[in-house]
Amino acid sequence: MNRDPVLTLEHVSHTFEDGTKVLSDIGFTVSRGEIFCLLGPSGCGKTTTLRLAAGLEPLGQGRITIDGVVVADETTDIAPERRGVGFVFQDQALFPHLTVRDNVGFGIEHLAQGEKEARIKDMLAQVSMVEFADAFPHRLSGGQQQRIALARALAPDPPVLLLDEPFSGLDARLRNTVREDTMTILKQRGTTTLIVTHDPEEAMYVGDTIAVMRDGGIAQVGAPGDLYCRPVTPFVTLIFSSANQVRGIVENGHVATPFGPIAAEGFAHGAPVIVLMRPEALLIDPQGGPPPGDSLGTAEGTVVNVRMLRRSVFTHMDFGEFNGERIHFHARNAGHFMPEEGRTYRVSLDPEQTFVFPIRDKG
Amino acid sequence: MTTDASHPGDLRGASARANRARRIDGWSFLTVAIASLVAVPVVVVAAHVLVPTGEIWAHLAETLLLTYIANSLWLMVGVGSGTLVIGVGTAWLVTMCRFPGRRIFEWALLLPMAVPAYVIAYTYTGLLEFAGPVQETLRSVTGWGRGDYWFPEIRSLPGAIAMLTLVLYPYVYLLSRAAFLEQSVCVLEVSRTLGRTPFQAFRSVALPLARPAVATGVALALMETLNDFGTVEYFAVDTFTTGIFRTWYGLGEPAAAAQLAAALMVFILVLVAMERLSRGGGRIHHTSQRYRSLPRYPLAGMRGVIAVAACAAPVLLGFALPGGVLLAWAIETANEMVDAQFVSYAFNSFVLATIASLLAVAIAVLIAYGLRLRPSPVRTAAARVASMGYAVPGAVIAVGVLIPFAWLDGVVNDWTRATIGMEPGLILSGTICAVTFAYVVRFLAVSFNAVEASFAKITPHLDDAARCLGKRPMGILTRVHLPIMGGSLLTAGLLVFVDVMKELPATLILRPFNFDTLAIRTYQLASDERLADASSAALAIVAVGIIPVVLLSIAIARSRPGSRTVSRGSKGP
Repeated sequence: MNRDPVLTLEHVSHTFEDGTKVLSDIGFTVSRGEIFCLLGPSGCGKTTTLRLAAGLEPLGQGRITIDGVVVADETTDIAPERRGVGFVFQDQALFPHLTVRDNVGFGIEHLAQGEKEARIKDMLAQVSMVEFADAFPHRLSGGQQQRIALARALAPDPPVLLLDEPFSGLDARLRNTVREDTMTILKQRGTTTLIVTHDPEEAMYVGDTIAVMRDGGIAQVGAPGDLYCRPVTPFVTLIFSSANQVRGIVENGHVATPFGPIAAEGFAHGAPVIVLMRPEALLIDPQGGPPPGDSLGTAEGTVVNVRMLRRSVFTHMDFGEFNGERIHFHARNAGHFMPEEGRTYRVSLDPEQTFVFPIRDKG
Repeated sequence: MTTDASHPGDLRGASARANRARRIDGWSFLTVAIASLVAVPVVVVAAHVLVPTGEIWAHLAETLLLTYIANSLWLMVGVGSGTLVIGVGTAWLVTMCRFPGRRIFEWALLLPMAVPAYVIAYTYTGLLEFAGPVQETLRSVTGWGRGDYWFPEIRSLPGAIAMLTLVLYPYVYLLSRAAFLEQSVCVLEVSRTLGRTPFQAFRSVALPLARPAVATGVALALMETLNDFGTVEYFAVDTFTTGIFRTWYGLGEPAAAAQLAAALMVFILVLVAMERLSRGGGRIHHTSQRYRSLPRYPLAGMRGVIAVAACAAPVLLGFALPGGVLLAWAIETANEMVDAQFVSYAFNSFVLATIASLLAVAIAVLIAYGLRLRPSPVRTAAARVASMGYAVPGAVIAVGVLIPFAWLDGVVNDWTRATIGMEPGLILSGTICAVTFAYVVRFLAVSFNAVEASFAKITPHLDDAARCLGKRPMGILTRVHLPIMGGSLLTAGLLVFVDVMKELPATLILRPFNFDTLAIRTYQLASDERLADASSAALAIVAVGIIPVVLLSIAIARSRPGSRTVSRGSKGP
């Protein structure tokens, strides 16, 4: 993948007409052929970002550039019909009165008849829907509708494709297949894509790059692995999985936890911090024996409740009192070892999945 | 207005939002212009409150005004309670109970809607007057002569209440039934598990939930009552509409007529306010989304017979009997009455109704689409104003149209006489312009509501998708919205068409000289006491009036959320 920028947002801020502030000074670049994912809870402004890029919402402040052309800034506002971006909606939004063929051909009417027909056929072939050319949308299944929506958006060969929660309307079993098919097509075509989702697993599955959004701003941008392994805020940590939490004060570069002191590099002496430990970081020793020699720290915990969750085992454990608080942690371990309820085990902490953050006004 | 943004940077100096607002502001201009035009008649009437009319008004106030007010109030009380009892009662029976013929009554109860009040009034008069078949039979059976017996006088205030109730109760029936059907069966079942009997559940849950709809239905029926001219005029029950008509033609006092119209508007305003109020506090959101077919309460034996009788009576008295009488008369008089003249009346009706419904639908589409493109306070207010005509009685609109149109014709004629020495005549007030305009003002709400509802069913994502695929707003309207809405537009047009066919007071005041329609013909023959001769024109109006009844019954049969799933499920193996 080269780093040739296709869609760039710079210092974009936006306020709805009713006065609600939705975006404050966000910026990112989607490179050619890249699949860029906006991940965030509902109401964080990710869909608005998409609509601004498409021109469906007039821009407040900032600048949006597509293929080197400024499409929106303080003085420019190119109408959506002239921006030519592809857009796939959550509900697919197929035209109910048009056949599959006419839906796909809707955006390429300026082409000569022969060329148009060929393009429609090609697009339908790419999404394996050739035999449905004359069907009406209501005859199609959810997955088939999604494929037609994709073909329709791709038919004009847009410089960038915008997908707004395209898989969330599909039922769970279908979602994975459709998602995989879609990604295969996009990667084969080398389509530059901006996709919005609230599902972290989906973001990690489809995104080359993920931008985590929160309250109208971007919390962190990076490759999926970066975000998961090196989150910069508690919010980014918690969007990918739940975590056991404990608060403490940094003393000489360390902070106390039920597992003993752990390193808190770069924090001043006396700084209040929060320690997040993914459930995967709590490793239960099946023998209940002494800790392996040089491991960070260990603690003894009593099993309150155990559940087998397909590929992993989820354990609720009680670690007694710590800093005057009852410590009730969760552990999630791969494999099929089921600790016994009521028994006490020795648990060690994996430092790779443990994160220390400063406590600010907003935790 | 800047509409072209093909070159980046050609809209300098303002934010994108301001640019965009300016770019599509043509719609705001259009909707405001239409709304202003539609508001003209009401404004003219309201403005006449301030015009001094001196003695005429004093005379009216002394003599007739109190009668008008008293009669109008009695009519409203009578028709209001009559339609409430019949409408809610029958709606409850057919939606919540099970008895023989229930499915037929579901749609048959709507049939009286097809009969204009003046037509049913003429028909019953023909049946029940001294020389009519009922009294004649009575006399021949008993041997009584004139004055030997008491018989209720149909041409009276109670008679008018009865006539109006018989044809207006379907408004209440329609809206209450729809409200009952919309209710989730869950809340009814919950109330049963909490210890209510079926009837208690109806009283304590179903009826309060339906109250806003019932209030709207009664308000509509009362608006139609105030709008009525034909019945009260024929029964010599003096109300505002007859007063307006008489002051205008009999006394030649347009300003005083307009002031009567303004007084009538006060009644309407009170009605609208009451309806809003009864809805306002109780904006009801259904908390449960689960629907199943209603568990109908079976009525067997005597109770079933009573239910059948209760539902059959309004249908028989409001539709079958008058319809049958009209048919018999029409067959009797067809040879003389159905001739080239009749065809020309029908043609006039058809032309007026077609033009008015096309205009009403086209304007409704423009306003509704403007609102969809960019809902702004200005456009919303404009749409409100444009659709208020339905509450305004036809006689009021007629006065409000004729005054400014006549004035404008005068101005034009003065000007042409001075410049080219010729007078074009009454271009506006003397042609179908005036009456068509009045129809559009009065019935725009009918088409607007249908069109707006139809727009609302189209997800905004379709507009967005079409724009991203290169279509401009006008292109989206013609390529996406109009094809999808096709059927609904036809329905909207038909509803206006039928309303225009039936309309009497505005047509009577505004039609061009010697331009008679079926409704006018019916009115004229009835006024000449040629009731049987009026039957063919009346029957034609009723026949056309059945169209929306059919459309409505199809629509409400489908309206219940989940009803199709239920029927599909029950058909399965």
